[in-house]
Amino acid sequence: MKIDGRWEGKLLDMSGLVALVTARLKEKNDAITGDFSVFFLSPAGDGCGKTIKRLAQTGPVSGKIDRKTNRIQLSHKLTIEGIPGELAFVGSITEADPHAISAIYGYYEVVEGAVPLTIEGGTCLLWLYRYTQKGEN
Amino acid sequence: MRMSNSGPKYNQKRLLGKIKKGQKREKLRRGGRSISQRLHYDSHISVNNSSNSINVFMSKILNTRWLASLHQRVYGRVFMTRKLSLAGLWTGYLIDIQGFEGEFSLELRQKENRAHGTYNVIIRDEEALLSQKGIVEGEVLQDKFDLVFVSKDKDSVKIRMEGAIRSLREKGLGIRATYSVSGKSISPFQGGIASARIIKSLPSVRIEERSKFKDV
Repeated sequence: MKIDGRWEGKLLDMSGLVALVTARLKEKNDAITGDFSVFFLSPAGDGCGKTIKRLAQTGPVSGKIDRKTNRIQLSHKLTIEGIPGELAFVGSITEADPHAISAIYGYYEVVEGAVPLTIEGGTCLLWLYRYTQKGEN
Repeated sequence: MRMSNSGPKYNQKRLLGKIKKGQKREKLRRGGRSISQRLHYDSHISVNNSSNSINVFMSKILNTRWLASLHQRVYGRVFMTRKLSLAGLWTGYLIDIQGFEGEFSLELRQKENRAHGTYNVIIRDEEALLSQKGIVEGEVLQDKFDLVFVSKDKDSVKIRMEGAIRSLREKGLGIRATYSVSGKSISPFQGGIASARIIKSLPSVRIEERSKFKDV
């Protein structure tokens, strides 16, 4: 299944937070590189029925895919105030027809001993859609 | 010449006394512990044994099985250290790979490594609303769990959910899980993700035998 492209989806944190996630991933020899963005959604909205998105985090991701089992591992390393941290994602890729071409879904965890983040760990689901926007892969 | 057996008898008594003293010393050396040693030993147990520490402590202190048993019956639940358990009322969200999003709640009870309870899922689409209720059954091993969801509708599919329980930085517990269904079927559930947090803990209770859904 194709990895290259722009993935869109959501994460559900165990703390109750829901966030939009976008990722641009590339694969070469089962090694995955790319970057991602996380936008927190304000449950109250802006008062006019529109949801407010607040950019929470952007950064690079790297990982690998096991083509036999379709298992994906991604990692994002970050530093806040000099304290290193890491987010680790473990999931699998599957077909998501007719909603999208494919989906990556799994769980993420804040690696122990790392800097405390707003998120505490949870699950994430990303879709690779058929359409491509201008300037996207 | 005054020959008396008192000497050897006396010596024999002394010898027997020495043996007894020696036995006592041996007994003390082998199994006996001073109170301070016992307390240290027992406190070590109570730290390492998370589930039954107070009862072990009491049994060592009292050194009486029935008293410890009584204590366990009376106070066991009160002093039981809290472990990561699925028992409780959970509420959370799920997203299916088909694009559906929903809310779900679980009411689970757990005995040892078996969990059992009910679930309620509400999936809101732009046009329709699906509500599904059913029973949940599965296993919990340490912080990992494996649950099977069976709806009350006969045509619905079995959903298998695998995940883990985590202690949240804020007070409470959370679960994160992925679910899947066996085979292709007409259902909004084809596989996806779910996260939830506990809103109320329930005490451990006995799970009663059920006649239905034994194949789950």
